[in-house]
Amino acid sequence: MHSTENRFWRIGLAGTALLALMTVAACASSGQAAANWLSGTQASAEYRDEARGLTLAPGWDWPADLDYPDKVDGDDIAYEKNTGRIDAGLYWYCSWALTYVEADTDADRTTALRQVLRLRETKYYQIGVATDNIPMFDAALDSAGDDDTKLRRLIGITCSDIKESKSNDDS
Amino acid sequence: MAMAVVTGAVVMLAGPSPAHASESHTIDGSTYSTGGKFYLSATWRYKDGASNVRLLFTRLPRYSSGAVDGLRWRFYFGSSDGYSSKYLIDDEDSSVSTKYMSDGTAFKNSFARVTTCKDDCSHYFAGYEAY
Repeated sequence: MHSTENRFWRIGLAGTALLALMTVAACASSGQAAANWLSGTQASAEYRDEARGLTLAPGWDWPADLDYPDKVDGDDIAYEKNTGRIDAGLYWYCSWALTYVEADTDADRTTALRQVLRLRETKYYQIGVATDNIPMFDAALDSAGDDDTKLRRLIGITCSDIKESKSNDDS
Repeated sequence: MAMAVVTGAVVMLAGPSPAHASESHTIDGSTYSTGGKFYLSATWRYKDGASNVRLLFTRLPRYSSGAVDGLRWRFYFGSSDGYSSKYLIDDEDSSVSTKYMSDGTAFKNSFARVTTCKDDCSHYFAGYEAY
């Protein structure tokens, strides 16, 4: 029942098999093993360490409780290295991005936009976004000065979870 | 034994329907030897178009005999929405339709091998994720 569909999937298989094998081989160096995955406590420590170097938008505070449990639904869970740093960068960016969207004055909006445009300096952008999604980010950032339609869409996509969490915390 | 990585760098066009522009991305990595111990990738991914995310694995974790073990797969949507249900993938080269996501949904991948296997087992997996 999968034959037709599998032909679609297999179109790219031959062309990428070599690269996939190379990637697997690269990942197979056992020396990287333990260092690549973190406990919830270690992920939280990463987050707080990264947060120390970032200044949130006015009215924002870093989350008091970080959400890196060591068990989910009864299953043990480990976090990929840099999870905390990436998530801290995302939170920092969203503090300014949501401030930008909700600003009441041009001055506040300009100040926030200046920070939003530093997104590329974050670990979130540099190593925390799937490579194929990066063009969406670049298009939004590059056009923001003239037309912020793409930027507002990007903010809606990337910051919805943090917006919801903050709303819950504030209420 | 405890190394695990998920990468996704190569973009190919491959989708169940031209109406959905989901692209297929290579993914690969390795699980813990402990069955049911999940990894959560650090990489945020953003859904392109509204459709079910589809997974196809060309290589799954194996027992020392060479027989295929399976993967348990779930998606993480952030602290507000948490995790999806778990999907079982135990058949190579068969695409699996998983979670429906609306356009722009942010998610991370999480995965575990099904069965604990400590001696001469392969923990590697490789395949494609269309989202």
